[in-house]
Amino acid sequence: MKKTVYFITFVLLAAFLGLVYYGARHWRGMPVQIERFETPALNVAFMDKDIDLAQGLAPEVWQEIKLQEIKLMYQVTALPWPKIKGMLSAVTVKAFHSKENIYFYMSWPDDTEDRIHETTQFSDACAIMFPVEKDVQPHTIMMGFLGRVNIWQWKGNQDREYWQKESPQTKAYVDYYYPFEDKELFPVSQHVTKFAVNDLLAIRVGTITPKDVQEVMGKGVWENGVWTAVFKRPLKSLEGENGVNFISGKRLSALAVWNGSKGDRGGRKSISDWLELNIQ
Amino acid sequence: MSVYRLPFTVYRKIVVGFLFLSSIFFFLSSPSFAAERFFEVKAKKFSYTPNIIKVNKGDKVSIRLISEDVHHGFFVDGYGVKTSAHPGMEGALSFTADKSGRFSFRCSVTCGSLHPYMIGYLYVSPNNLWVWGVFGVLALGLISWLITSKKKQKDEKLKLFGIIPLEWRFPLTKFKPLRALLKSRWFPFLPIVFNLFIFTIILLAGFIGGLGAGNYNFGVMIVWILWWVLLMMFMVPLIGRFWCMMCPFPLIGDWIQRGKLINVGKQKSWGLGKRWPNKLRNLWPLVILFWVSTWFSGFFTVKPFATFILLGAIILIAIIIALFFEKRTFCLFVCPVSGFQGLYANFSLFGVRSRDPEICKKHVPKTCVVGNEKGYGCPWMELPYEMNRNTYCGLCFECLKTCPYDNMDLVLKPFGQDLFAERRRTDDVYNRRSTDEAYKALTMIGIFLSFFLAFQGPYGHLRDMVTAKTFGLHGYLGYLLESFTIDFLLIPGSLFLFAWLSKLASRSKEVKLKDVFVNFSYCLVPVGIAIWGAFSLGIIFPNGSYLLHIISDPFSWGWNLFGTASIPWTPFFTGLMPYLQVLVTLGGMLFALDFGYKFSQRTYKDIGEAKRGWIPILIYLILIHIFFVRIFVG
Repeated sequence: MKKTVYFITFVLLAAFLGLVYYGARHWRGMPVQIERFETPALNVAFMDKDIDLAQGLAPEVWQEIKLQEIKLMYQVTALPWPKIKGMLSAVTVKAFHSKENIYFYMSWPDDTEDRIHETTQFSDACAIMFPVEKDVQPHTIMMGFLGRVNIWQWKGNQDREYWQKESPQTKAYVDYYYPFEDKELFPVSQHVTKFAVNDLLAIRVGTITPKDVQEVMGKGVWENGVWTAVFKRPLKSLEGENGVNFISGKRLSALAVWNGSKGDRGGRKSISDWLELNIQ
Repeated sequence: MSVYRLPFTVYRKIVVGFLFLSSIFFFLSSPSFAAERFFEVKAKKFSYTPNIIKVNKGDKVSIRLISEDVHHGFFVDGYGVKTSAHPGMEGALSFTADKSGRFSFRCSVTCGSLHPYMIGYLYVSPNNLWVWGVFGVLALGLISWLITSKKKQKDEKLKLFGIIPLEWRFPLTKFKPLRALLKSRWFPFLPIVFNLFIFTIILLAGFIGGLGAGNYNFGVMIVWILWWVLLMMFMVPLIGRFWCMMCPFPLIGDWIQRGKLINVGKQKSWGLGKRWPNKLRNLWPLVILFWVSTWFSGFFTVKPFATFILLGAIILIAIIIALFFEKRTFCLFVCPVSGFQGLYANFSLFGVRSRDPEICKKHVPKTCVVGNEKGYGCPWMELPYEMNRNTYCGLCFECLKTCPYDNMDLVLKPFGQDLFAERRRTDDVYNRRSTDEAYKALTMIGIFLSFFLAFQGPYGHLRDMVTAKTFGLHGYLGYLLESFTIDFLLIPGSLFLFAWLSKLASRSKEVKLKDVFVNFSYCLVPVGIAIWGAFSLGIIFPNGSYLLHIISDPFSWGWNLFGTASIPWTPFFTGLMPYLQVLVTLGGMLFALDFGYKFSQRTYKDIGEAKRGWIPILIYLILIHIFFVRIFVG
């Protein structure tokens, strides 16, 4: 009897420990978020047209595409916003592709055309962000947090230098503001303009880095208190799997707008929630 | 002059003084001018900064919510307003603070394991409920003192609130259908099988469930929200060990020991059938084991796999104990939740008792102890024929089945009858009804405090400690030390101090301090039941709606069996909750005051000693209830 009892006890203990071991290895972890929220969608339809940005933004092409209004909010920062006058409530956006290039159009109201970026003056700008990996969940908007993101940032000052060939008075500028610092930091940088758009990579807050290969072209026009900017990039990235490739299906993106005259720069900006691109 | 022979004018002065003090309370709680108040609240797992927001009634409150890690929400109890913030984006909320009191604000978006307990406090002055609560405690204390101080002699018969004789019993089993049900071998087997089915799903959900968030897991929600709340609010205070009756955990052990699942098999346990050591045949093992199990509360109450490990380990230990020891040794002396159920069952309305002691005296052999072809000898190793307390009775009803004279009854009895039951020989042999039960009552209050502060308090660092975010003195080790200090030193120490004052005030030379301490500890049984009931309200009202989701999607696999899986989190009665918590707490105090004076009469030899000895305990009860009201609404 004693041996039987000890044997059964041993078998039961071993079986339970085995279950615990198996369960611990296959435990699924904690979801960051379960409750779903509605993600606005933007159709990227095929149009058999291409735009030469050197010739302009081709408004006749964009007139054929239905515009979508995307709500914006202020980027949260650790320091309270001293003045939120620059807050932009919405941006209108359109997109299409020509099987070779993909185009994005952003338009937003701005009373002043700010094309100078120095240490005390800041340029107007806009940006589109894409997760590099295709099937990521929309956990958090800020710089991906959970994976790499590709950011295309068009800046008014770079547009002026690139397209209008006007050189700035000084190349020193401040444009970096880490949003979770308790004190505002203004590292001064040396400005080197290559294009009107910065093709950037980030993996979390504070890691923005220009890509080795700048693939994105862009141009902006300010007219009657409205900015319009167009981005253009080949559907397939020159970086292959390491870049963002726009193939048919769904992909996340997000938008941002800076109002330079209101003090927006770097982390200070109006941003959208995740936006779902439906590439047809 | 004895304090009990005060002239009427002195009584009048006391009452006037009481009313004056009350008016000061109301003066202090007078409202100030309304204003616009802006708060920037940062949220991160699982706390808010600031965790306490104070405004005045009428203020327009604006909240800017910032998340520092994942998507968090902000819901204000009682006001029903909410917002949420993704990291990098902010949530905004504005409302007029037109209701006064203390309101919890809590996360409304599942953000991780402790999401249901991510809480902060909003104080809207004046906090009238807190003032009224204190007023209620003082008023009850004063009434109790006025009533007891007029007593001229010891009560001949103990009556609950001076109305219902405490020895009163009504045999429910005189109704034949109920007796037939309880005598059937299918009862309580069928409820056990039903619970076995539920617990199988619970274990599966913990083991293979799709999501790690406890609030979306069948196991965590059923066990720690539904079961715990039902246990603390209904089963234990009303029916005693009702859960033990239908608990599925010992089923396999019973089967191994008896060789039969339903019908009567072996009377002597199969297996080694060892006897549990005499020194441990009391509540001490359960005091320690329940306390030890609370060390892991930050895991198994929120993490599905931890719930699986805990329940799996309990089932495993139940089987192993059944292999080595006789009968229900596991239930009696090892099961962590058995101890407080046993002690608190003495407060309950129901119990199994013999009808006519004379029949039992003549009946040989005692089939309720040794068993017969109709049933087993008491699996809980009680002596049913002389049983007068519920502590060690698991309501298995085997004694009703085995009694050939139908002399065992399920009886209805007044609340707390068993607490005043005569000592039996077994109580002395096993050193029962001594410091074991006293410490069970006291540690339950200490554990309540730890649980409340960690799971319903505004302190994020406590949640970090309980979940072992760090292990040092400011982490998990600190939590264990704090738990030990509160449960075994501070709470028992406070009663010990007032028991000593009671003995001093009584001027009794004969009574032992230990007896004073143990006797008055039983006042804390209704107190414990009440505060755990109030605590349970704080669990079920805000989080009960998650149950609708998990019954339709028990494994978090995306099922929608009953069409309720998509119902969003909907807290209910959060405005009413603080009022109910105060009422329940005062209800517990009412019983404690009634029982306390009765224990004083039992402890001390004459009425003078009893009345003098009662005053420090009355003060103690007033102080701890002011503290509890503060915990819930202050």
